[in-house]
Amino acid sequence: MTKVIVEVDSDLADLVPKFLANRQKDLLQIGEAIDRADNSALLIIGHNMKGVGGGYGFGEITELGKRIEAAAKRGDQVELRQQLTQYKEYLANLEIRYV
Amino acid sequence: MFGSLVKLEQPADFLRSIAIAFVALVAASAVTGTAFFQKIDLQLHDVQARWLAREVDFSDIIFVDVSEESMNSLEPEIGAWPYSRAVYAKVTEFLRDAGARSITFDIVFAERRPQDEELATTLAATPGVTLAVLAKDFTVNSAADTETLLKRISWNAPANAPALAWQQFILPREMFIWAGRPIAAAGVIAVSLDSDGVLRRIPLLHRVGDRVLPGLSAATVFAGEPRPEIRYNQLTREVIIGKHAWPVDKDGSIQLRFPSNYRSMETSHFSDVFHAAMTMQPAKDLAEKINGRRVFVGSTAESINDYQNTLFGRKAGLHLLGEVNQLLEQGEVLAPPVLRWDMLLLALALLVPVASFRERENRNPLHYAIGFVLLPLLIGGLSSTLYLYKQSTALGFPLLAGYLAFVFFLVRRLWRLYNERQRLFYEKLAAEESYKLKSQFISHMTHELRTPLAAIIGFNRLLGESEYGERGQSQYTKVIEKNSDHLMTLINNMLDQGKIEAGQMKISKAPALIREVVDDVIATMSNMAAEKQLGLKALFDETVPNTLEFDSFRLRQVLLNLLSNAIKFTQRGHVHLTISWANSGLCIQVSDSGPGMTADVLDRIFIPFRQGADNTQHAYGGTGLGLAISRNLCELMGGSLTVHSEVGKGSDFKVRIPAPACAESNLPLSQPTLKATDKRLQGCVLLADDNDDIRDLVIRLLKKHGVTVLPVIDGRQAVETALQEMPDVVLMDIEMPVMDGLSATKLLRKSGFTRPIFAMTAYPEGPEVERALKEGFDGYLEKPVNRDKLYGILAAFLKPMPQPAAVIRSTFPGSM
Repeated sequence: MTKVIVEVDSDLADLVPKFLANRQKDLLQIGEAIDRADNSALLIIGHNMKGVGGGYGFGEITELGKRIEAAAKRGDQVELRQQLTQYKEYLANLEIRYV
Repeated sequence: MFGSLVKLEQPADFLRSIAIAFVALVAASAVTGTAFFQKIDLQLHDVQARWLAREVDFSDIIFVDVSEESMNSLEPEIGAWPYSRAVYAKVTEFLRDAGARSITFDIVFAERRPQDEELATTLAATPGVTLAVLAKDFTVNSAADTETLLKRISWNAPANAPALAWQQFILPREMFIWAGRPIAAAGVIAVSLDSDGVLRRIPLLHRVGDRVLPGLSAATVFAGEPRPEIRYNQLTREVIIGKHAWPVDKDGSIQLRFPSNYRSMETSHFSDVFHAAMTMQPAKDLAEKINGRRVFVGSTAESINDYQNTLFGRKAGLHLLGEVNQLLEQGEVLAPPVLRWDMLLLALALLVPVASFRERENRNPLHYAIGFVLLPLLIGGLSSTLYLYKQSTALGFPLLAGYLAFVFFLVRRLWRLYNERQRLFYEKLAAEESYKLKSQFISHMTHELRTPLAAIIGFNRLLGESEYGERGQSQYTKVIEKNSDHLMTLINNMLDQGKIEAGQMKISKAPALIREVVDDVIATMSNMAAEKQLGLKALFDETVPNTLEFDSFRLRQVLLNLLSNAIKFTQRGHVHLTISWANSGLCIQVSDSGPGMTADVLDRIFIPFRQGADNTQHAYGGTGLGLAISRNLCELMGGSLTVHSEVGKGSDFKVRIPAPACAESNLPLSQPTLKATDKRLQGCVLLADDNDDIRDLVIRLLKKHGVTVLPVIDGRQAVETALQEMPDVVLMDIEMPVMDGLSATKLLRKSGFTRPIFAMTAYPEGPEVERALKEGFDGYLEKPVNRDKLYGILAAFLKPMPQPAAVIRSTFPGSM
């Protein structure tokens, strides 16, 4: 996988580690929720991701959040797993540049 | 009286009334020639004449009547009628000696009889005798000297004096009236009857060729006097004889005012007079009766005299002779109708209906009734007043014209009432139909309102009663939210429709980015489309400018409505938005691959409260208002909403609105374009959000602007802190645990918190925002948070401050 380079406002540099740690929690929660087929939990996670990602400069997280929210609404397990994988890959390949 | 009433009318109506009155006049003129009208007219005059008849003094005259009784009494002595002329000589002598002022014989002494000489001698010695002349419409063989005699006894009259023309006069024998000098006057006994055979007028002058003789009763007026000159005043239409001036009609007849007391005339039997003359009986009383009176000798016997029908019944010719003579003497005659009085009566007759049917007022039928009664009273009153002043007038014609005008006005009024009733009938039908539709709509609405309310109440109860996990809570609140949203949409649609119907919907045009509006709409509807796996995209024509002037809020509303319909009814395929621009007009086409609509359905879809099919509402929900509102909005924006659809081929809705291009610099300042990170502000902001990442981010952004931040993690804390600390601005997430942002805001507003509260939401286009604005929010901030937009909001409410100090007063425990 190639690196995903994200430019983040240097004012937020000290917040980013906590932010990313919370995103790792997202991964766990999403995985568990998919296993439980708990779509309402997935809806909330997706909604949160949507609301929070772009603010820090991680537009892709907002997009992933939108897709997860939509898939959860439909109860599309296949799509959810696909998005989870993409989310995992995205987070794993992140390279942050503070500007 | 009526003149002032008429002035109140509108000129057009008044002219129309005049036109109707004129038509009535023409119609009345057409009727006057008929025998029926003439009969009615004569009878009207008769009623008037009888009603106004006065008493006349008849003490001047006395009749010597050759009655049946007289004839029976005299037959043994002098034989049967006709009597020898010596009898008349004796009677004449007696009357003369008794002091009669004049003696008039209603007996024609034309033929040769025994003892004519005796009568001639008596007449020559008796002044003031007038003899009867017959007038004939045909010529009988006459004595050759008749013409000469007529020349001698005829009266001098101007050629233009109106007189009744005859073929021949049957004169008395010459010896009775001419002996080198006139010895007795002569007058014509002829009457002229009206078309109904009734005698109302008497011809004053009679003419054969250019010879004129007066009537017998008129001749008697001048008995004993030298034959007077006849003059005629054409202007006043008066025949002037001596000191008398009688108005005549064009036939030369005089209209008489017959009296009511004609029976009071004195009569003596011819036999009594004859016996007195022969001194067979004492005659003192009789002589006293005769003294100083004008005596009329004739017969009322049916076998001899003629009888005439008059207003007061059948009268003997002898009596008429005396009566007419007395009326002429006393001037009891009527002037023939004159134009000015007849015109006045006619004008009055037409004015009554015109005034009764005055327009512009809701007239009570009683007014017509009053007019109906007033008309004959006015006409009869004026005409009768004139009658008393010896002026006859038209009577039937003004009444006929007036009543015809009444009828025409009434017909017009009835016609208007009929039309009005038809209109009301159709309006009633329309109102009933409208009422039916409203009733249907209310029953649908009731159902529509009850369904989500039932869900809200039910799930809310579950939230309160049951032990629920986080998952259950989330599920229940989602259901409640969804149903609340639906309710809000319903109510908003109702309000919009109400505003449109009341003409209160305002369109506010401003420069806006069309692509942004369309993208927003697409983003909002994308979830709905994705759920049905429909392709949803917007295709922009290259010519569409970026910035256009239009009402972005209303256009968004229309597009959301069209898209949600398209997605709702399309089961597979796509929904496309095609945007083009030409000649300052924006055209947005919403096409779908849905089932399409029949022509019948297309007719209904824009009618409020009607949907495509009756079962549509049950199958798909909705209020039946969306398309009606959309079309109305498009029209209010100066454009149109049209639809083209074919069954099986989908539907195309086309929105066309005027949207002139404008420069981007015209965009309103609410979309801040300047980087605002360096601007410092003074004030305190309460931040309520359960998501610590967002909280951290916003705190950081606020801190950069030097703003004091009060972060809290749920609605309850937000309420408590806000009321305690009174922040300048509140930023409130909508979905929060313990108490959500809507409830918190509602509570704050209820508690009197008036400072601005902004919602933070990741659904900026959804109904949630509208709901939030209604619940007391002042605006919203879209998530993910854009720092420029955040600054734009804060800058509007906080004062600028130079020093870069930011204090975080943490009121929540630890990290989340």
